[in-house]
Amino acid sequence: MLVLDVLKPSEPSIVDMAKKLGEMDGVDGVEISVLEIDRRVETVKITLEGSSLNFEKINAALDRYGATIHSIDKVASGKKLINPS
Amino acid sequence: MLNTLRKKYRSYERITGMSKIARRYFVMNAFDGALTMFGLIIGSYLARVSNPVLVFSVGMSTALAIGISGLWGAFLTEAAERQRELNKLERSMLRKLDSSYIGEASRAASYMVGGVNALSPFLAGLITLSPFLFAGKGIIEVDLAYRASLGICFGIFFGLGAFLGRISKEFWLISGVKMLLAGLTVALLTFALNSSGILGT
Repeated sequence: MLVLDVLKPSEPSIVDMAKKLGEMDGVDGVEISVLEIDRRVETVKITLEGSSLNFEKINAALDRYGATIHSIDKVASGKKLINPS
Repeated sequence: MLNTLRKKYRSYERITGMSKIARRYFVMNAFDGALTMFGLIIGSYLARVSNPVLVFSVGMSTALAIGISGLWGAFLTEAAERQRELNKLERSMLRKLDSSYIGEASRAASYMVGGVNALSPFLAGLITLSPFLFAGKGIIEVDLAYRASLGICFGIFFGLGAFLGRISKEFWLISGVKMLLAGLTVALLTFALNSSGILGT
């Protein structure tokens, strides 16, 4: 599990972004919620779950969408998630 | 391949809204092209030009010039506007966006708008002048070519008007007639100038 704080341009939308991230290998689920909206940009929280999340590839995909990772807010790894909520 | 292109187009369209701009340019420049051809055909008719190849080649050179002017003008204008928007976004994002989808979409929009702006008057000219091509081959009479070309012009004016009507949800017939009025204005002015001797024919 990976939780990212991301700054992205208003377009492409979070719908496109979620679809693209969801199609990536090793990603089982994506959730994007908007934290803040400015005139041209928005800050979003991206939660990714999957059996083998590849951070480099996720970062590259976000980069293609013009987004920047502000911070990695949460990481969970291993055979069992400690606190899935 | 086609599916990938379609997906890419949709994604670029969502980012830039380029089809709306391209549609506007298409109508504007197709109208420009057809109206210019209309003036040229009426002028040639009044000057009693009976060589269809001459009318066709003069018309196509004119349509080509309008097309090239459209390509350069629209591409450079659109590219400048898009770059300005991209620069603003880059300042907000504090990063370069050239290699992102946004940068790609921005460039694609400029090319597409330039292409539409170039092709629309050229195609309008080609369709309008096509009867002269047939007349040049001896398939139809020159007189018929004049009448057919003028008819096609009116058809294009009306069609473009009806197309705009469909976009604005206005009654297509009224919208079509509004565009036809432009052609009639050109015809009336040309005939008036001709009968007053200003055109020298």
